[in-house]
Amino acid sequence: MSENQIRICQFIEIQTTTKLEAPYRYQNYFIGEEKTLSSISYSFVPFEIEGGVSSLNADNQQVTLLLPASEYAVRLVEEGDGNRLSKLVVYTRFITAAESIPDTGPEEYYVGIGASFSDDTIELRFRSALDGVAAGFPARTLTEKNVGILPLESNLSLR
Amino acid sequence: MADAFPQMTPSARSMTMGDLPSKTYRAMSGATVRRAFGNKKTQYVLKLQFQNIGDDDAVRTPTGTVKQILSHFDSANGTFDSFTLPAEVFKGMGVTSSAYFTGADVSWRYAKPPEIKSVKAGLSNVSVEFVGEIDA
Repeated sequence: MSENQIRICQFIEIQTTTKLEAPYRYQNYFIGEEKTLSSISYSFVPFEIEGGVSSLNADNQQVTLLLPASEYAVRLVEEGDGNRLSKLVVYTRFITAAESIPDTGPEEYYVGIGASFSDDTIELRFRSALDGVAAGFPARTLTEKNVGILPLESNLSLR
Repeated sequence: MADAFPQMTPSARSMTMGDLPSKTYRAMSGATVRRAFGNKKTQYVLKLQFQNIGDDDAVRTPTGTVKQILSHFDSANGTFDSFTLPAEVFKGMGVTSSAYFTGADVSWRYAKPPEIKSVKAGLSNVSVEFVGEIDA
């Protein structure tokens, strides 16, 4: 039987620039509960992570962490110097029907690039920690000798 | 949290059970995949009708008055504050069944202001609608 039910819990760890020693850890699936991932406790906060787009252009991946405009969200922004250079780690875990949390799963790293406020939400914006290498590499000429047969009418994508 | 809703037994009652927050992906083939976003049910709905109750003074006990409902709506800051529901609201319903609506996780609020229809001098019909949600 194919998998037709998905339960995804995102665990986040935010290290602000002014409180490096005490990162904030939250999860967004188990309402009102505290859950443990790899022996570390995460409390519930109703956040969403959205907007991650990967492309061939080697751009940084950008994501938005959406939080209600509550006291702890304001604290995250203020302690992160406006969410500039805060560090975010996102652990995505597929929860089982019995609500057990697997230890392994996708793990992504981001760096803060700012925040924006609205009347009921706060958006923390992040970009991926690593970027692709773009112009100037490799400093060699592409020839059939080093890359094989070259396409005549297609784009080349360096990765 | 505001004070509990007045201990008034409704003339009619309709209820909708809460549901797990989820989205459904439906392929062109018709096959579906569902994603759950939380582990608790939310969006309970409870509609109550109080028929022929006194405006300011109760005509029968313990039917309550329009004034009590309006005063509660006022003290609950309209649809903003949450409150609990007394057992009288579920009177006539099995305790096990009504327990699904009175769980500690569910916070009740007015879904909209009470609707009042005057039927004769000093008597009115009142409809109230509540929504039960989970506070973060």
